[in-house]
Amino acid sequence: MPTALELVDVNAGYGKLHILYDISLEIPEKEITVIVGPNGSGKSTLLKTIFGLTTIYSGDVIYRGVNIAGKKPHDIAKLGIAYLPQVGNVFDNLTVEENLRMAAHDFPKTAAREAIEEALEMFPVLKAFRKRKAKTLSGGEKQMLAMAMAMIRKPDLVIFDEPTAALAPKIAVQVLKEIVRLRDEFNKTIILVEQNAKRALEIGDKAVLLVSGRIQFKGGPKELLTHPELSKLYLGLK
Amino acid sequence: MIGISTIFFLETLAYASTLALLSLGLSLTYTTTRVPNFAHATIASIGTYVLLTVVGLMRLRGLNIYLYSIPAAFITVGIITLLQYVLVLKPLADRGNGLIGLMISTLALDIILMGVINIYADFLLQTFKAKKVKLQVRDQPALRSYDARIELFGQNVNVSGLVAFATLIAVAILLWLLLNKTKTGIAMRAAIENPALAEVLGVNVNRMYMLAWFLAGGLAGVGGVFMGMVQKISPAMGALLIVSVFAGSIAGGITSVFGSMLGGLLVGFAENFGPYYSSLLLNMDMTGYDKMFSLGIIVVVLLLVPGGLASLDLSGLKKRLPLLRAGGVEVSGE
Repeated sequence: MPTALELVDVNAGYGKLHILYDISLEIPEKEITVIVGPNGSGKSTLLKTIFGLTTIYSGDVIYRGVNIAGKKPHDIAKLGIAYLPQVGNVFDNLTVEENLRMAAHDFPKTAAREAIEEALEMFPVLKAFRKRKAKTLSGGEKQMLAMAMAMIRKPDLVIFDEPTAALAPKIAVQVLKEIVRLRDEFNKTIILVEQNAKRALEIGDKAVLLVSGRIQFKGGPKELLTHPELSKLYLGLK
Repeated sequence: MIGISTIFFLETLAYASTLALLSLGLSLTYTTTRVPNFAHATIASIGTYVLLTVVGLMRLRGLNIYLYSIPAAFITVGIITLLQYVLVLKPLADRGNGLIGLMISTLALDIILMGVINIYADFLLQTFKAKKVKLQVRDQPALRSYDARIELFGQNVNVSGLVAFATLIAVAILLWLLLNKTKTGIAMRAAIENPALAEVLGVNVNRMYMLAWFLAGGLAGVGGVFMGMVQKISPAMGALLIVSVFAGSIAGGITSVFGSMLGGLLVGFAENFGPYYSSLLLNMDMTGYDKMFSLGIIVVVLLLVPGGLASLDLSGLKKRLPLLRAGGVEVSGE
């Protein structure tokens, strides 16, 4: 598979707080890359770094041959990368429809309307809630809305930060199924950070284990799941 | 209203509408940068000096005053407020300054602006002298005698109160349309509610904040025009007003733009009618105690509705209204 995104020797953090050390990583196109690791290992920081939300001290973030390190998030969003933050990934005080309109805010009028209808077709559950404020939705419905908002912008690369956090197990399975669907039906490249390593690695094509801001393992998900030491030490699997 | 003359009511209406315009802007800037802008009222008084300049140099009378000074004040003060954000607050925030640092910077700016207004007043004084304009630049009484007049309830009155209130209503409608019906407005609400998410969806949040600061400043400038029509004009007039502006904002719920507008109106009326009625009631002169009423409103609101008027949940009332009308009693279970 060709590479969609490449990180080369990236060192990053927040202000003076250095969190990621020498991260080199290739994200293959149209696959799900799962990033796992213990709490505080820098998983979310890695995603934020790709999206220009941290301070990059050195290294390059190459997307389709262009170095996007140091670019502003709103410019990166226009390159076809979508990022779904862990919390606050919908606008609570806007209605479902306004949230979707917001995602299409820089589209021409008819294109925006079409994109919104398409997104609603992709996530039909949302159709019933068009006029409701997002804060009245359940956790799973909010997650669907967040995904619909991301899809409106027709991204090639979608970055998920713990999309199943705080969801009931049954709903979490549903959300992960949707993510698989994005890869299989819509050919999206996906980077997924998950707390529940086992569940995520089962759907992933590539696995990355992050420990204390450094990459400890890169390779196949099965390999990591069955690794005698790593899976026990860092993923709590036996 | 009982015992209140039409003139007094209209003057109060002008003052209350001014406060509403200022409180609304204060909330708009507060919701973006989360910094209370202590320079807001002094910024508004720049609008008053725009009025004084326009009236003096163009020798305007009547409705022409509003026609020229409102757009001039909106643009001038809007740009100055935008510069406050771009040149002072944004760089300080980017360098990691917290709330206290930013707040103190607005206080510093307040002092600087007051100095600048004084310098400008001197410049204006020379110009007025040269052009033989009979206006003061300090302690100039309100420009009532320049205002247009109409017959209302058998009395000949200034139009400032009516124009101020009409402007406020127009601003409210336009602002509502902007925030709810336009792409920019929805993007602005999004940028205010969740800047990080708006940014990852491709909104230039900084540009939205710049627009919010420009609008807030512009509306303060318009408020400044009305201030000059009903209050004594002097470079320090903002300092007297800032307490009332904050009172309006807090009473309305500082994060709600429309709540703050209502709060500003409430405080404006309370500051004029409060002393008037209490003077009658207590049979003593209470006119110097106007700020007691605005501060009293803050205390009462914070005690009873800590989130301000905008946080009042009226949905329960809405549900009950049809029942009340029908004279029925609520039956549990649906």
